[in-house]
Amino acid sequence: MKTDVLIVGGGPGGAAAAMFLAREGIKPVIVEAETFPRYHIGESMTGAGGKVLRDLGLAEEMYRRKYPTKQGVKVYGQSTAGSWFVPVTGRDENWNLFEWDTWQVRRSDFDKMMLDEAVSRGATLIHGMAGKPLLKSDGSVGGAQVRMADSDKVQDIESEVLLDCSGQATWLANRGGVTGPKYLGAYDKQIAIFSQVVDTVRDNGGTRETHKDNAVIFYQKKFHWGWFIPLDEQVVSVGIVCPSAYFLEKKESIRDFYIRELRELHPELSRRIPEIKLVEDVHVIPNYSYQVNGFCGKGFICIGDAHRFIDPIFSFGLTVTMREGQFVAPVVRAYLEGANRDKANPFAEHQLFCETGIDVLEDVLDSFWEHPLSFAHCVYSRYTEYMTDMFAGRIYGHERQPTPALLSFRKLLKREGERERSYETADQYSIPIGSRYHPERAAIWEVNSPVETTEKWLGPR
Amino acid sequence: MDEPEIKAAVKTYILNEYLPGEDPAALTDTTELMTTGILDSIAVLKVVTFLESHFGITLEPHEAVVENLNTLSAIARLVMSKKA
Ligand SMILES: Cc1cc2nc3c(=O)[nH]c(=O)nc-3n(C[C@H](O)[C@H](O)[C@H](O)COP(=O)(O)OP(=O)(O)OC[C@H]3O[C@@H](n4cnc5c(N)ncnc54)[C@H](O)[C@@H]3O)c2cc1C
Repeated sequence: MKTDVLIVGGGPGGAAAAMFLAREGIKPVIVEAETFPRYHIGESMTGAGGKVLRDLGLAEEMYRRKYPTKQGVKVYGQSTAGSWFVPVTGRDENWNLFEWDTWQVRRSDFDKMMLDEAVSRGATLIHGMAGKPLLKSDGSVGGAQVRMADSDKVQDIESEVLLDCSGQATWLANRGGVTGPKYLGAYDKQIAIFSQVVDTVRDNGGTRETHKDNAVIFYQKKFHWGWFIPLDEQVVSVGIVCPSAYFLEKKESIRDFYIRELRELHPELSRRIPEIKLVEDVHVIPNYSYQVNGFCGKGFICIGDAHRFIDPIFSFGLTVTMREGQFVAPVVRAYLEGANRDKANPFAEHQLFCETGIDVLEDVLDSFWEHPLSFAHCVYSRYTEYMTDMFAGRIYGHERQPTPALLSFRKLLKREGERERSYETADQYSIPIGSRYHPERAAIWEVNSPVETTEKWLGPR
Repeated sequence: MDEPEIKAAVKTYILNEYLPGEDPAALTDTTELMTTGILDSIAVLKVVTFLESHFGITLEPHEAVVENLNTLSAIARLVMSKKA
């Protein structure tokens, strides 16, 4: 079987890419291993994430499905008085801010809607599991072997461009040598434990800040926080994130740990859950933070979680993966029409563009934990507008980044200059900034390191 | 405005806003305001707002850090450097 574009993974990244490709007149093949609907975490969107759906003409459908409309995110810190609110905003063509809303979604339902929509717009869906990538003699990726779900037979699907949208499975990066190495991210030592609860107390004060559907974040100690994300009128997704060491030290079952944390993490969280009634299993994801170097190359582009995930605290995951799905479409079209065919990395520009955007998020997240006072100063008074831009996911170069707020954070994080330099040569490109927090891991980031992947470096876990 | 004057102005502000009834002698130039919890983070942000409006300066986020705001002496040094 042959196709111009093969998409591995039919999550929101793959589905968005397929729909934007359809707009360019390209009909891709999507390979998805699971049968939808299926459970998935990652439910709250930013303003820019919502904009992707609006750009796709899906706003009406989102309202029709009654997904909660998020007006902003409320954050409760150490003292209850110390809460702050960041409204969801958009920017018009003159870059004036306007008030907006975005959505929170039950992923089983949302992902199915997206994938069905991609198919109705022309994508072909194949139920199967991508195995080995097909490599051409010049080392470029020319498709994938796919184990078909119905027949259990392996079939080759050849492609001009393969988009890896496999999420945390990081399918291509785990296949050794096609992408650059996969590194640990700065939040790799964290663990997330989450479920869904009913009969909660929601805000309802008649303002945007007290809207019943808002996402709420709570934290007490550094790196120890919780989320409260309404999924419909009754059900709320609630998660706890903390250092793995803290979880292990407690010696509790996952469920006991979760229930105790709902009680103890923050008074504002326990107030919202007077009686704990779970309507979903308790799920766990440890070590979710990583970064793949060289995630674009001859015949392939990795999208969203398939190349980088930092941390979920400000809900940037869906935004990044769907936006990358949007950005990639004209790039793929140009390539199919002959652009950059002879380049060592035909998608180098796209890669740099994406990476620089996510770097903005990493700087924002790190500043939040490392320099809470200056962060709050920015949100409250100094750079309120720029902060709403970052919270809304407007993180890319054409969105007036880096903003003065971000430059100030970089000064604090002592990251000035360094990053620019690191972009200049291929080897140094995108040094994971996690290395700055884990100097003991530096060996794996050296250019000629004998250790190729973090998995190998860590040994059996 | 010199350093002692700045210290005096900030001291008066903090005493009035956060330590009403406290003996002024208890708040010295080197009393740690943040690391001891006299001021929580919201209070410190209000102090920053006060500094900005009272002294006509604008603090950059990288200047709004504990080291610059933890004592009256540090605050006065910060304000002096901004006015220079
Ligand atoms: C604890 C936690 C909380 C989060 N909270 C939020 C949040 O509130 N908001 C937010 O926006 N994001 C959040 N995220 C991030 C969010 O989950 C992801 O960023 C998002 O799901 C990425 O979408 P994707 O399409 O790239 O990948 P996915 O949604 O993971 O989809 C990948 C798909 O690829 C398929 N696949 C994988 N390998 C193969 C293969 N070999 N062959 C065929 N198919 C394959 C999988 O079955 C899957 O359906 C959170 C993440 C974590 C860990």
